Amino acid sequence: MKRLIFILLSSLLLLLSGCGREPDKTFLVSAVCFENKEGKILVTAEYISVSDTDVKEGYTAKTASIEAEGVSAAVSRLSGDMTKVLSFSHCAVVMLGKNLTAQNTRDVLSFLKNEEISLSATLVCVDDASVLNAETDSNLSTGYALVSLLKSRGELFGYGTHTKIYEISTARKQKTNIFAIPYVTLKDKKLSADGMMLYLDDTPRLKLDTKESIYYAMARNVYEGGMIEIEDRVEKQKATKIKEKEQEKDNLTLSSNIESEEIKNELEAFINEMQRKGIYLFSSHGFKNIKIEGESPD
Amino acid sequence: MRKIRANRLYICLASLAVFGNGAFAAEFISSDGVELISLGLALILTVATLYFSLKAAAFFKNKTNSAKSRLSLPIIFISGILCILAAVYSLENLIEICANTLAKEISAGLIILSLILTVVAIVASKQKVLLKFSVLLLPLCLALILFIFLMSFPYMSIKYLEIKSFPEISPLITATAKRFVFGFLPVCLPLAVLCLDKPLSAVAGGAIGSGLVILTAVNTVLIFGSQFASELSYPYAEAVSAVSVGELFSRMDAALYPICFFPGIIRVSVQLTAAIKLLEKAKKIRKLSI
Repeated sequence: MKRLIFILLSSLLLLLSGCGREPDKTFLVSAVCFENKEGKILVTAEYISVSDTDVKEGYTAKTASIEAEGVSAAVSRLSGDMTKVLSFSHCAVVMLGKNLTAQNTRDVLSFLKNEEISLSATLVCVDDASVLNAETDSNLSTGYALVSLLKSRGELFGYGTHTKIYEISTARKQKTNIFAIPYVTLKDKKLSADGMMLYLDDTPRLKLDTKESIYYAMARNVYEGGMIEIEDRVEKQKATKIKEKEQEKDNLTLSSNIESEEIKNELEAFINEMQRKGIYLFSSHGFKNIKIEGESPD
Repeated sequence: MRKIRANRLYICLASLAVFGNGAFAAEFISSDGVELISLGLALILTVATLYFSLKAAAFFKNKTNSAKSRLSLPIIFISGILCILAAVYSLENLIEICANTLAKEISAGLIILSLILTVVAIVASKQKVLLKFSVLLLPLCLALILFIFLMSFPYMSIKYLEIKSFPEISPLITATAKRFVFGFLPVCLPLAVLCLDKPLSAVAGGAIGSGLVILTAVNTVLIFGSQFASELSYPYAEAVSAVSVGELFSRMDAALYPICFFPGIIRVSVQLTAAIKLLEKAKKIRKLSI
């Protein structure tokens, strides 16, 4: 009897792990983009058909878009217009159009929490949905190719790795609502993710280039180590940790485990520059001067 | 040796019944440290209630053997009805949880499967197969929960466990009461009835089940933080879905079946088996008194 129960249990564990949907009746969404079009929400989905007949002709990703008053209305109208059910459970990338308002961004993030889209999907900022038409090495879909591109850039430069939906949603709950997500553009019809878009109070505020993105990641303690350009040479920097040490009137002292003086000075300059722009990466109010000391944090 | 083995069976049954869908039914309802403290308090209350329910059940068992047994009849009957109501509530919860986390929609198939499994489990309980199933399921459940906890280390942040100030008493009491009443109380009476002869096993099992609930809650808070977790309907299910182990297991949703579905079935079965036992007892007393 014990064996029988064990076999039954193991079979259920292994066999019930599917998505519960018929592939012939489903389009798998690999990426979805939300934009603001004259006050309305324009949603564009990149999808793949995995049915037998379509697979014979080779996997090809297609896009479909529709606009509506709200986020959920747009998505349900898009699903309603398709010949098969749109399954968002394998969606790898959610794109936020640069022209989304703060309220639009909140609506999108709130919508994502209640949908079948995994909270581990990556959030990126784009100019518009034309990014989905990029030429990629992957013959499957732009969405999946973009995830691979972001992953390899993350491994190379050490930033942009904490941009999953739940990580951004958690970052938004901090005392200063600041987050940054990869900024993806088209360059010669190819995908380019050379930096990040910094959001302040759910509005795209500042475009950061690769080096600024590295310093932003260091300041937010999400830097995982990688290549960094210092003057005319390239250095390899380990993962860093930064901590608030002491506050004295308008001065804030930080401690960090960064050994290179040049990196420390550049980071200090970056943080002070951000403060001047009203982007407070540490405490919720501005400091006239932020200093970084060399001792390594616990 | 046989005694230890019998105790082990009841420990497993009690821990799975308490764990049941408790981790999922007890939503994150507030923020900043209230979740874990209220959950801890609710689970302490659960173990205490289980202990006192066992004492009360033993007391009534002695009474029903005496001449005053007729006086106990309404209490036994009402307890049986309460167990049925608890089972209906747990089954409804289970189907809702599974529909939202596993199947992503309420399907007739899921409801029928849950009902069939519950009936099979009740029939099996008479042949003690339910107990043996629990012995197999608990280690699997424990192993999976630990595995997910260990695998989610790269996703965790210890700062989410920091409690900057002690939460206010009023929301803490509300959160504790809500968790206890809706998450764990419905299983205390049925367990007391089923494990009447094994009180220590039942309490130990309750404590193990509570430990599992705490572990899943801590795992969720460490990944999502309290505030974001409170906005999700089933935060632990989302946490399991977010964790991936390399390229091999990119999403571990399948792990939710042994963690969420089967302990839920065990919980419903325990409640219904206790209800049947109590109603049979009431029928017997009524016959004797006539």
